[in-house]
Amino acid sequence: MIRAIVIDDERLARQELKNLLQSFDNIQIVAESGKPEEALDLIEKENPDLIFLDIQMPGMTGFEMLDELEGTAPEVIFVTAYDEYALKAFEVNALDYLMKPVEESRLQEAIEKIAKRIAKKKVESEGQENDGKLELHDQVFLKDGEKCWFVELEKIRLFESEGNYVRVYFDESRPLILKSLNALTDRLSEKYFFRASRKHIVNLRWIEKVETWFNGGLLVILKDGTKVEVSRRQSVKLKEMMAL
Amino acid sequence: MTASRYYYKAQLSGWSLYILISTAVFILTGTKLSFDVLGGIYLVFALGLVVSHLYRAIIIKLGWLEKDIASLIPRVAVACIILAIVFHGIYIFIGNLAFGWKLAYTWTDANLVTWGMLFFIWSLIYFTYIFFQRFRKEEIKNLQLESAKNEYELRRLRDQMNPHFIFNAMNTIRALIDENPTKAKNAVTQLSNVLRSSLQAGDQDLIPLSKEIEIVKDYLEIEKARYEERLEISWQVQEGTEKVKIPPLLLQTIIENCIKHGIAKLPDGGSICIQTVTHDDAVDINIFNTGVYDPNAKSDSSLGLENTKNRLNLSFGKEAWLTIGNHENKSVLTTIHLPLTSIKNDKSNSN
Repeated sequence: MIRAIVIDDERLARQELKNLLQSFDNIQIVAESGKPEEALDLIEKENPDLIFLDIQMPGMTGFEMLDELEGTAPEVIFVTAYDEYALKAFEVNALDYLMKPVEESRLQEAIEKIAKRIAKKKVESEGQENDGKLELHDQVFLKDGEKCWFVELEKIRLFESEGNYVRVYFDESRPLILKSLNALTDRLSEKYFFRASRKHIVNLRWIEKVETWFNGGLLVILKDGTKVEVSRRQSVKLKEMMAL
Repeated sequence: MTASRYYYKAQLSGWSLYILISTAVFILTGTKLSFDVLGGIYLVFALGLVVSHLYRAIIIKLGWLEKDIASLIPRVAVACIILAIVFHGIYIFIGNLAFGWKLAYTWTDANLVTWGMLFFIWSLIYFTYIFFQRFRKEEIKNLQLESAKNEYELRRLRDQMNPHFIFNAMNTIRALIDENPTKAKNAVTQLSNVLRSSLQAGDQDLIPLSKEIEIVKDYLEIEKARYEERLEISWQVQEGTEKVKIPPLLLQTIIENCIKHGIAKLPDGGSICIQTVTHDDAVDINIFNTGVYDPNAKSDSSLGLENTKNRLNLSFGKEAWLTIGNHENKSVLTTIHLPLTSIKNDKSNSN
């Protein structure tokens, strides 16, 4: 069963979507909201698999709302009437979207696609203990100006602090997001992510080899060739971890 | 860059062609290709290159490139005669010096005609190319202008149709069909009225305010169905004001902006109040809507506002105006001031 939340500032638009979703046995609507701020709390509380999200809402757009999300991002199907800017964003960033009024066959396609992704995610994360921190199969929503991504954490090689921002390295992209490295350290599971220094967090799965560096420090070389210096204090910790 | 490369190539090949042709003529007429004859041909080649290049510089300097054919013909004719005379002088001078010719400058020399012909042909080729280029450039410019015009027209039409509103309205109606079929039916009629009026907007310069109010009422009813309790609408139409004339969709455009920048941005919604007041010789339409007006905001709407002001100005001149500003209680007040006199002598008819 896919647990879903419907977010749209218009009651009738929510009603219309709920009517359409009635014929889908695998979708269970656990909540609905007309206000983005309230929706953020609901997502935190209900931890849904999927949200249906309107773009144009008072106070906050759908994109801005996702950017505010602290925990793992659920799967998202955007629903919008007509918005040139949003349509461009959907195409550029390969996001799933539906146009109002929603066509049932398009809705079915979108749900089938996402059901597969959710099933895969459930298998992969099975048996793992959840301490509330972000695991490798969790996905996050990243936004850098006009561009945005849903990324699984296992794809992220490195977080690098740049002033008040953090640069995120994955695939061919390296967007800059407005977050602090400390806040990220608190949210990422220590089993997979290692704080190498004041400036870097590395994904342990992406480490190719570790070399000794001067002053008793270490140098981590990632699978893509990126070299990251490990501070002296953290080097001790990394050695301990690897010795186990 | 490419144009001047063409020029140099054409120069070289043109004057080389002269060498070929004159050599061929000498051979065919049985003239012996003596040192003097060959020297003469190559001297014309070299001098031709230099003189015609200077000629081109003069053409550009005198601005002949911008002139039309009629004014060019006499100028080119005179230029060819002068060039032939000058060219002949230099030809004889250098020939005498270099090859030991003992030629004197006589006006009856057939060569004078030859040189004149050469420069005439040169001018013909040169200006043909220039005209061809000019024609092509103009054609490209025309096409660009036309496509810019089409794009503008398309954008104007689309903005007038307000797709965001239409698709949201359709979605609302779909939901209403299950929930409240009577309301759904009404909404379909109202939407039809709004669409029809925006299609007909171009047909008339001015319409009675009563007609415009009907359209706005239909439009607001649909928005009311969409926003429900988040949108409150009130009307205070003073009797007698409905007859005043207004450019079609002018009030409608302003109300659309009130929704777009006011209600749609407020989580708890707001209200729109439309009030008409008569003065001695004018009618004020006051629109109060919840929200904040930012005069510095550069958006499509500030452009739309300029457009609305222009439309008023076109229809009534200085007798009509539009003001917008923040009002008490977090509301924005927009006032359209329309002259009553337009009821009696409709200025739009003379337009």
